[in-house]
Amino acid sequence: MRVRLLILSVLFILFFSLELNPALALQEDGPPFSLPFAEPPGPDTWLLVQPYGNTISAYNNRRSTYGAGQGIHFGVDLSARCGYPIVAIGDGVVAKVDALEHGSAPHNLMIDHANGYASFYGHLLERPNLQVGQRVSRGEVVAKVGDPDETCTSRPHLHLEIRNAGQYNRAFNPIPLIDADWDTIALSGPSGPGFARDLQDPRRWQHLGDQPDIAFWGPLLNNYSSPWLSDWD
Amino acid sequence: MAARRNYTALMGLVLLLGTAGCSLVGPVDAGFPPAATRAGAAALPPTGAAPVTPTSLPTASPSPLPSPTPVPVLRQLTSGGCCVDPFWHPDGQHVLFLDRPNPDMSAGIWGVNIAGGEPQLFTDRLGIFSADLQWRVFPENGQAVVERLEDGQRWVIPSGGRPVALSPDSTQVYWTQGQDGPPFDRARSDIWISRLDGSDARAVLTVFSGGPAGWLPDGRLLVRGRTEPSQEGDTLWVLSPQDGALVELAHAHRMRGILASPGGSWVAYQVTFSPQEAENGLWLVSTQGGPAFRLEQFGAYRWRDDARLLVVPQDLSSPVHRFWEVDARDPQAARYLTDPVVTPLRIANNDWVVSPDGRWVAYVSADDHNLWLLSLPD
Repeated sequence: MRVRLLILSVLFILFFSLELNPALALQEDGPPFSLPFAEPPGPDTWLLVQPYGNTISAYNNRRSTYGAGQGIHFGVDLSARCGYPIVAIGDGVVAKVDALEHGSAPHNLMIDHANGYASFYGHLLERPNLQVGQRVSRGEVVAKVGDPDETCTSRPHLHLEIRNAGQYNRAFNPIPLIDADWDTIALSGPSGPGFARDLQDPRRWQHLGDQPDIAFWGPLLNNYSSPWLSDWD
Repeated sequence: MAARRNYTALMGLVLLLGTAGCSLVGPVDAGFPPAATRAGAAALPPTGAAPVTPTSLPTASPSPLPSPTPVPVLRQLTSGGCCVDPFWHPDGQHVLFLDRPNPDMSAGIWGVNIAGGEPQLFTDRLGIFSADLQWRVFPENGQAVVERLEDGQRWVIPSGGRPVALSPDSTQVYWTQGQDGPPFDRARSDIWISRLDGSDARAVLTVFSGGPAGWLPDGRLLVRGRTEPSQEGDTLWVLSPQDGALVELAHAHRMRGILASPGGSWVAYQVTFSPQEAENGLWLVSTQGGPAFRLEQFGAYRWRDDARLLVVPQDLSSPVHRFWEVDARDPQAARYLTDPVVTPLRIANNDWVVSPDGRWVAYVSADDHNLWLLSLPD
């Protein structure tokens, strides 16, 4: 009897651990997702413009734009021209269309995946022509790149998030979850995207793949008492 | 397999040469870092005090490594995964970076000798340094401050605390003010300039959807933008601050990544997502005038000298990164400098920097997040 209770308790804890942190289920499987564009990066297609994490821009706007995400840029921004086709990063089911309570106006899309993650596509050009509950396949065109300023000349880009399906109250760094050579993707221009630095621990959160997960509306993670020149970059 | 054997043999030779180089030079020169800053606890000296200056670094030491060989060589400089955003000491012998190796030490600028040895504290005074390490600029109490490192003398720049950029001869600074928010293609940017002591501050130009893109060595400014918000595309100009004269160098949609060569003869820039696809790519243009020309590669780029540009192509089909060099005076003679088999390097997050003499590249490895050194062939 005690053994059964113990086994049940372990299974119970394991079940809820996986539900709360889907990454636990993926440690041995490698990155479960693919890039949200069919073509490789380049000046005609798309480029990395802001990674997920403790970026300088997020740090400088930690009390405003990114306050809801603990001061962290809680997605990855990929620039492209307006109308450029976005593909699903994995097989899934459409969970939400134009759910603007999740941000990233003017249009957005949430897709739930069987592994416990949800992919969220923001700043879309138009409302995706999809229905909630509709199945989509990896690589299927699901949306078009838009511009948060709705001009298509200001800063058109895709804001891609990966959240916990169902609750959507946590965000994870997409870079280790997407099977791509991100260090090659970052090879564009005369400098790399920098991260804000804390003089108390200047080595923390300085790499594309080494960035904190966030819980929406949690306390700021980067309210540094001694930041280094971030607002000067 | 044969290639792998060749690579192993070559790396053995490299290690042997590296060891020999280290043993010839011996340990890091006792003069680096300055004794007063070695403990890492030295506070900023008060204004007027004589701080330890970077010029006390051992600048006269001979080149500790063999002359560049026909084959580029890789060498690990640091361990422990430190050292993002490195920059070179003007002596070309040390790579500097912000770090705090352990909680008992203050954060500071650390340096590692390319000949080997452990990183040493260079200074605990932080800021953006001039290329000759004689000056630094930094924010303090909401103001932009310029400090001469030799004697600690400071001046406040009337930029309202906005970041300032030192001219190459350290006689002037520029900064911008204007609209910060979207839409960015209509955002206004007023370009201001002053002497290094903050005097003679004046607005020299207003542009939209752009701003200054750096100094030229002759004291002129590179500027990208539009003179009216409704204009199409971006223009790249050379601005003479004295009289406000603008000389147009190039015009394109979505011009970004503007980078002048060290001597100011050439400018590299990229054009992305233009409705005219022939515009998209990496371009070079002479500051003396003449048509811009597009390069056959696109990727990350830095200047090796006043005419040679290094490019690391953005090629997802290759598991390693390669350096490609183009001479702006003879672009047809472009060539790869590295071979994926001989130097299977991978750069993390586009984080690399070319030495002042153009012989070396220091980069953060994507494999171990340490600083590595690559020698470049002539």
